[in-house]
Amino acid sequence: MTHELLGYIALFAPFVAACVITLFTLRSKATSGGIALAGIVAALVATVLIAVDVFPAEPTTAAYEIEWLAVGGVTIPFGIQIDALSILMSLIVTGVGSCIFLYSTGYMKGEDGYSRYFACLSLFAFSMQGIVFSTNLVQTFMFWELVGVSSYALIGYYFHKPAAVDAGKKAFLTNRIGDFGMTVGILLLFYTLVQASETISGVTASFTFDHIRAIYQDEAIWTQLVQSHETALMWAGLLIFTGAVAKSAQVPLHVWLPDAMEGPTPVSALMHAATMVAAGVYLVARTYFLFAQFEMALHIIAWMGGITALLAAAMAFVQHDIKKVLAYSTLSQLGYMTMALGLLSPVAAMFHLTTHACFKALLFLGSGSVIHGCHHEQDMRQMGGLIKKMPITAWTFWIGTLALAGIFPLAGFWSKDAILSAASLENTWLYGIGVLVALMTAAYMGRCCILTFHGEYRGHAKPHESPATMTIPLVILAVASLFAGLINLPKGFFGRETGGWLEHALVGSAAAPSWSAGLPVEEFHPWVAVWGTVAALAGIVLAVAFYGKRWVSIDRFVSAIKPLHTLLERKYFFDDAYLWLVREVQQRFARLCDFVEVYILRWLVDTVGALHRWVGGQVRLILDGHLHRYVTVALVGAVLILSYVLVGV
Amino acid sequence: MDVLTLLCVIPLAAAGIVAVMPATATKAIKGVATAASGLCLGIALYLFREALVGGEPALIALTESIPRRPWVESLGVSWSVGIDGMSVAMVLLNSIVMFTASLVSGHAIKDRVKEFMVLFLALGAGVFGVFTVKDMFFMYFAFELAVVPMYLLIGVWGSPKDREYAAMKLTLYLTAGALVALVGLLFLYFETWDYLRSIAPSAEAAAQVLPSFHLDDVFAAADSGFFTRAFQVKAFAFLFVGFAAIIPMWPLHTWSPIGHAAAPAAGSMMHAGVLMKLGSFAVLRVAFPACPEGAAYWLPWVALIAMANIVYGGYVAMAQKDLKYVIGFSSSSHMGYTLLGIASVTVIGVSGAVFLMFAHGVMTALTFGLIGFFYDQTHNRWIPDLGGLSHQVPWVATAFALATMASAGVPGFANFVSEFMVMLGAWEAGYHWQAVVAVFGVVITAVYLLRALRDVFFGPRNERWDKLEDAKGVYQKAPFVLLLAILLFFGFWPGPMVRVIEPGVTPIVEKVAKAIEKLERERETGLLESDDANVEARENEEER
Repeated sequence: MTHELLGYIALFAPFVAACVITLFTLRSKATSGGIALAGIVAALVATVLIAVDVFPAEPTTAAYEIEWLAVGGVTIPFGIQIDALSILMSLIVTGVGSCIFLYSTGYMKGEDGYSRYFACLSLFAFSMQGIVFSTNLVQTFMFWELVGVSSYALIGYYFHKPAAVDAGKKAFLTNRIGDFGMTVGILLLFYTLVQASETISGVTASFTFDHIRAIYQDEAIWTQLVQSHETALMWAGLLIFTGAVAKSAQVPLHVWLPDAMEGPTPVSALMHAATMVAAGVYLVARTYFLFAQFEMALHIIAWMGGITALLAAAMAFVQHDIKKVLAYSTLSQLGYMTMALGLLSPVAAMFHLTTHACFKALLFLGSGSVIHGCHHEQDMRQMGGLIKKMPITAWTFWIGTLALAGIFPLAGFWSKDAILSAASLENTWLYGIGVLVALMTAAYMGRCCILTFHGEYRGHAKPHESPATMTIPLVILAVASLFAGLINLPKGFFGRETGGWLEHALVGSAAAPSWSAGLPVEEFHPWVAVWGTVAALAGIVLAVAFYGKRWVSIDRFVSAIKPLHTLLERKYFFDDAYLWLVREVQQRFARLCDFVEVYILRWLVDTVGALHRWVGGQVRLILDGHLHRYVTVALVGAVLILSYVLVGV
Repeated sequence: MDVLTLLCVIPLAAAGIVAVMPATATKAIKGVATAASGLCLGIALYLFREALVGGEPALIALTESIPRRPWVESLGVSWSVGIDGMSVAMVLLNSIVMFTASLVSGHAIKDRVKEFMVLFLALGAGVFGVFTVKDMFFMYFAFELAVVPMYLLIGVWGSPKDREYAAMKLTLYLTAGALVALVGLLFLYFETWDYLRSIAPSAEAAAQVLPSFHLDDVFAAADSGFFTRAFQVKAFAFLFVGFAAIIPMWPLHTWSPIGHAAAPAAGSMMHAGVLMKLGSFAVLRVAFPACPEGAAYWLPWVALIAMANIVYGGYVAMAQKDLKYVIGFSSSSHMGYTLLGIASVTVIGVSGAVFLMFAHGVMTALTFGLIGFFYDQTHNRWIPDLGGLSHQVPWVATAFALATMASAGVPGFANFVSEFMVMLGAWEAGYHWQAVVAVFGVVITAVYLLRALRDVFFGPRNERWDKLEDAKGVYQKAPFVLLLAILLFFGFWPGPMVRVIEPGVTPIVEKVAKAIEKLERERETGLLESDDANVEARENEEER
């Protein structure tokens, strides 16, 4: 089968599953789960079939497009982009997705909306695949929004819980704000190209990535283009990046992600850890040519990532809900990826995205297993000592933790090292932040593990290990978390001559010249690795000191840093600020408009109406049915008209 | 009889049949109404297919094959029908909404079924008339034929609390709007008469020339350059303000939300679904080609007012507690996109506006049909009283959520494509900030729609509504499924609809675009300031 056909299968298989479930099998739970699983596995198989062709060959990129809409000289294509970048991402989405779909069949057992859940989950997989395979900006944007919608439906899955519904709404609206920027960015970019095409030969306006990239990378054209349209092009890039800011939950549009934990845990694992939130990083990697030439844009991206990484990691320390810890951890790791993008290391970002998808999905599913085993208890203060009761969950969770902390030789070590190496070359401040975040990551994850699995059990339920449908995905993902780092061993590590396999595959393909030209091949820097490892170990030691051995009293420590602690607990007041904006600004403005509507516009109209009625009432006094009065009036009128006609008065 | 006349005649004939049927035979009456709407839908689909396969030439050939049938020759009134791609889309919209509304009212209306159906069918016929006739007199007549039944539908079958006020306000507003537009139409009528006299071969022949209400004559006069700019500016203002009251354009919109709110389900469906589209349709059909220079002069202001529609309408919707008012103001906000698309005078923008009229019509019919479905049981639309309804009516809740998503401009529904086209058009026309505001409008829309969705359907079970019944069986679900399917079909595959609309819109856009160019050229060379003087000079010359 051709790549195009396989790509369409990988894209539409989950969609077909969603449609079949919605239309036919809502009543039959087992069938719905089976169909959804079949859909995602079909997509996985199709992706693997393309992957075995694409990865060994010399890197190429191919866009198979059809015309979706053509009107008024504007053509919007729809198609399938096949290159290493999209296939890698699709492998992550369908691979991790398959594990999570399987896990869900166990986790969601007995829920009322079981079929609805799998329909939405399949719809999400479809939307995500749509972003992955998209060949152009408009297609990306459409699936981008669809991801938001399916996220809304899944976060608000427990629709009887107001908190869940509100969380879904918050996610949708925050993403909409990002999409607002993204739409404007797309419009600006497209019409800047339209304008440029009038004066610069070789420029044609298009939404297709490959076309725009070709324009950006043609030196002769680019020099002219940047002379006349530099500001517009830079803003277009940054506005498109706004979409990524919202979807990948970067400060200040990060507020929806922690709340999104109201959804079922497998949803958190799939969307709010492994795939959906990674879409922003993927988008920037896909459109890297839009940013690579603008130093300021890169700076903004890098610093936004660094700040997010730091702020989120600090917030993870004060969480009691096991899923919230993981949520803030996800924020922080996404910050890492964004930072890497801004540091001219899209490969490192994609590498970290890959490994993170494995171990963060593992951690979330592990937490789901814990929650399931403890009968829907999410508070870590009600846990403890679970390693005896649920050994598989505990051990796999520890593997995930060590991978996330970046302990050699687990997956996280390699990808984090790649980012830190890039930072150490480009920006010392961000490098410092990166190392600090590495320490904090190890510390809060150590805290999380110790509180959950060690010490004495503090809850009241009877914890038990989860069924095989849930533990098998844990084991698969744990294996992936152990070895995923091997896909990109850096150059210089034990005398390696070339860069990693992933680097080779990606650099050659997705955005070929703009990625390779001027981008440093990632190299192994022994000192960076050493400092990263020291930071991670120190973090774990700190966690043990505070929570395991209790060498330091936590209460005393907290009271010593009271203001900071409050700041963290209140989430830097971001939520309060937004709430204030919504309540005091938005709602007041709405009420002002309503006031204008009711008391000015409607009043005016009603007054005109009332005036007429009053005149009518007066006239009615004359027209009261007395014939002689009519005749009098008619006569007076006739006389007046006659005198006007005759005399001309 | 030609197929277009048939389109107007079928509902009227059905109304006549229903009128002589015994009032107790409600089932048969509903059957006749549904069958008539179904027939119209069949014709509309046939026309759509013609337009899709044969393209614009097929429609032109169809139009030309239908002769003018003089009615009052001395006044120049004739029965003449014709369509372009734009009208095909609107005819399709009307027949879809009529068909589904007749299905919905089939089980919703229990009181005075006969009278209801007579009026409903007359309303449908009136709307078909506006979309197909090419004679200004009959256009006006058809419009009134649509408005008067609406008055009675609301006044008699509306919600008891506010129906009298709403019916009165709606009718007065629409009639007043139509009167203002009528002044504009009469301007065109007399000026066209002058033109027809001016091209007569001799003075004696000129004295014999009869006036004409026919649009082809008006356009011929306009294309020949007979209408001066001053005249066009004046006539366009009257036409546009009159039509804009129907769109409804801010600040002439206050009749609309309350009209939505008070009407019975089928009434709201027709009102928001098609009645509101008559205004923007008439602007494109009459005002643009007749007064391109007038349009060029006024449209930048229209683009600004469109902002008011979008933003103001959205924020007022945010402050509402009555569900139908939320949707009502939402409609007026969405019509801002239509206005913006029209004001952009680009093929993509105007096509987007027409597409949006279609998509919004279908979406809003769906929304009001669903609201009607549970309002008929709750008799309560006050949002704080509702809540958690998806426990009792999961099917309706799901359909409503999907309609909400369509309204919020989610991809996959036709509304997204059309709004996106409008944004592209606005940007292309150089209305950058207006486009940005329009994009932001999508955020506002999401805010109030998601809030309404949450407050009405989600949250804990509310025992008060335990007696509500969900949609059951094919008969109850069919209209909603049909509407949803259409939105999804054209959302996933907008090509056919756009291919039908675009060729109809293109010549209109070209005319106005040329006028805009001319205006800009003159502004640059400073000729415009002395425009009045120019006109006078030309008139003097003519007199001489």
